[in-house]
Amino acid sequence: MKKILYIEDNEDTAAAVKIILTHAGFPTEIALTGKDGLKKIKKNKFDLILLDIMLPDMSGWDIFTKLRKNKIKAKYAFLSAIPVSKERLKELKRAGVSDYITKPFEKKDLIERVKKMLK
Amino acid sequence: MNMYAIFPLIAFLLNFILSCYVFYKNPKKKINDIYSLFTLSLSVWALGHFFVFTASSPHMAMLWDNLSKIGASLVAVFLLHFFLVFSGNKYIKNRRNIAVLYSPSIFFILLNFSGNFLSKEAGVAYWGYKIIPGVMYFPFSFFIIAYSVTGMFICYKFHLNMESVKKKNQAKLLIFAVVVPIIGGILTQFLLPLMGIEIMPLTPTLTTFTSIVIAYAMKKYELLTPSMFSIRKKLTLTFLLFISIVSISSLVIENIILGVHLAYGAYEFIIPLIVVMTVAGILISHLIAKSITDPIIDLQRATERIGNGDFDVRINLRTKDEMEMLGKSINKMASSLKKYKKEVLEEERRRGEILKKVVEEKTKELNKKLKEEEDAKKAMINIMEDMDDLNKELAQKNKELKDIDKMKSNFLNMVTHELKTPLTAISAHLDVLDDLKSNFTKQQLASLDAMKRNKNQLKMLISNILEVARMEAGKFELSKSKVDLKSLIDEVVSELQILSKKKGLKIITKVGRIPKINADEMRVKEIITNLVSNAIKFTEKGYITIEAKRQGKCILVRVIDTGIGIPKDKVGNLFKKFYQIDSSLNRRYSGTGLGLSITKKLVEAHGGEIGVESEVGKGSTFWFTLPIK
Repeated sequence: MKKILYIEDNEDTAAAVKIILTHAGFPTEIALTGKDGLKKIKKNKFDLILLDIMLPDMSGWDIFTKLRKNKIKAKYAFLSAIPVSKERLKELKRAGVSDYITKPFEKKDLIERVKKMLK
Repeated sequence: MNMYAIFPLIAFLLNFILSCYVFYKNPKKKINDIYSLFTLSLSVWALGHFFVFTASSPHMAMLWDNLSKIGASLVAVFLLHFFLVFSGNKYIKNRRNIAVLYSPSIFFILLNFSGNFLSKEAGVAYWGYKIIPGVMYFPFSFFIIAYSVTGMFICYKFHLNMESVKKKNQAKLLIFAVVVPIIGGILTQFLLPLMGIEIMPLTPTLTTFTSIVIAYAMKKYELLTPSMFSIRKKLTLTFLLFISIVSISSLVIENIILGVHLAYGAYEFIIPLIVVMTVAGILISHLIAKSITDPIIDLQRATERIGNGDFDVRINLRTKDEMEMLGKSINKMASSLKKYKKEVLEEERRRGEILKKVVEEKTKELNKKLKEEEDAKKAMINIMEDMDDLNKELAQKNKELKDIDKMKSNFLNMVTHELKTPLTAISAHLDVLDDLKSNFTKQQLASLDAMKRNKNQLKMLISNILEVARMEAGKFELSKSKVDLKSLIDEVVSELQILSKKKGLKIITKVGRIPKINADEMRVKEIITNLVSNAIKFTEKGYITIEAKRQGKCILVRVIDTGIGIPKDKVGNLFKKFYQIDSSLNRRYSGTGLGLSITKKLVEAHGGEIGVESEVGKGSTFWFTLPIK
């Protein structure tokens, strides 16, 4: 069973995504702050970490680089409202980011992309 | 004839010839003059001896001895003088020193005539008469030897310090030439008589050797450097001839024509007298000739110096004759030349000054020009500095603008985030509800559907608004690549198939052979999607045609519908933001009013054009072009 951690400060979005993904067969934990997320990662092993970019305590990018530095083995994807250009996406993928999903997302699309990443 | 007398006679002749030769050949050269005087005194000395040897009586011998003593006195002093000149000694530069040098000689000559101090009496020897020394003879001998030895010593020292081989050899030969008669003299006059051996006085005879050696030195080592001056010779010979003729003719007249009978021994006296007169005649003619030729030589030397450019030469001849006049003329010429030279120099200087002035002026001009250029350069630099300041200012402004831009961008991101976050939550929860809809009542399902529809509407609106905002903020970038327009059109058609089928509209594509274009694929897709979905939206029946063909350097795409059409007066506002022909239509056709505005901006961002042709009730044709490259 692949486990997902979703770090998202909007409680409503986080809750809905948790239901959707769990329903799709991926047990998902949520963290409302970066700090909380890091704590959870320390305790448990996750196969996929979904990151919001604009978090109250730190940015999703910071969390990503920190985790990479600590050699935490997992897939990483951003889930953000901020649009990203093709070039930027390439750069991110080169840096080790598996996907970048823009909000608002479609359920079907989200599940498909998560499945692809965890294959 | 006394055979012994031949030796001093030979000495006399040789020395006399040598003296004359040197004197003629290079006058006005001190060393030659002194040398010829030295040899002349030697010849006088030798002549004195000759007459003493051949004297007819002791009285006559004593008489001729005076001549010998005069010669000997002069020989010593001339020898020393000659050596001093030869070695370039500074002592003789002073006239007083020369007087001191000559004083012993004059003293002994005077002493000789004032009594029998030098020669006591004449005695008989096997060679003829001999002179018995007087009380002062030894000091006299000492004087001669001392002078000779001093001269030799000076010459020897000179020879030691001399570097020139020629001069060294000259000095060596001179010493050699003089030392022989001195040693011979000491031997015959003092040493042998002291030992009781009586020998004839050989000193003057030995001077023959001196003459020969010096003649050799002159030839071999260019001593006394003879040169040709014939006037003096001619003059001397003329005077000599004159004196000889006068004296001989007087004798002839007296003895033969007048028949005067001379006293006993007078004949004997006459021949030496003729000889003495001849010698005196030569001396006098020397002096007269010298007085004539010396000014000529002075003049010659002066003109030579003038010829060499030395115009300061002045001839101070006081001969009160043509020579003096000539000298004065030469002086005048020299001063004229000097004046002329001065004028020439002055002229040259003047010209030089003019040239200098011109050069200075030109230099000034040049400097001025250079300064002007320099000023221009400075001005340029100032301008550049100003420009730099301006640039800095601009850079500052730019930075400010960029900051504003950044702020704008940040604001945009913020708004995007703030708008999209609740939308995302709504959308996600709608999805959650969608999973549960199997348990929903009909009313609940209708509500869910309404929420979904409005959510989509909101989503599109937000996305369009943000897109326009981003475009206006300049946060809009194309990411170009090779785009296959045909497959892109097919893609759009298949995506919009559901919508068109719902309305029963057929979509026809007419795409010819067109090359790939350099464009942002997503944006081009957006353009086509917008136009086709609009066409679907405003067409109730009929069909929609999508055409694409090459038109010059562009691809022309046309989306033709058979829809409601657009009134002509509304066409102008069609591409404006939030514009819809009729607000009631807006509700009916659910648009944001931003679609065409965004589409236009996207086309223009690609460097293309967009337009519409429409007729109300018949349909509309939206077209746009995209450059291939």
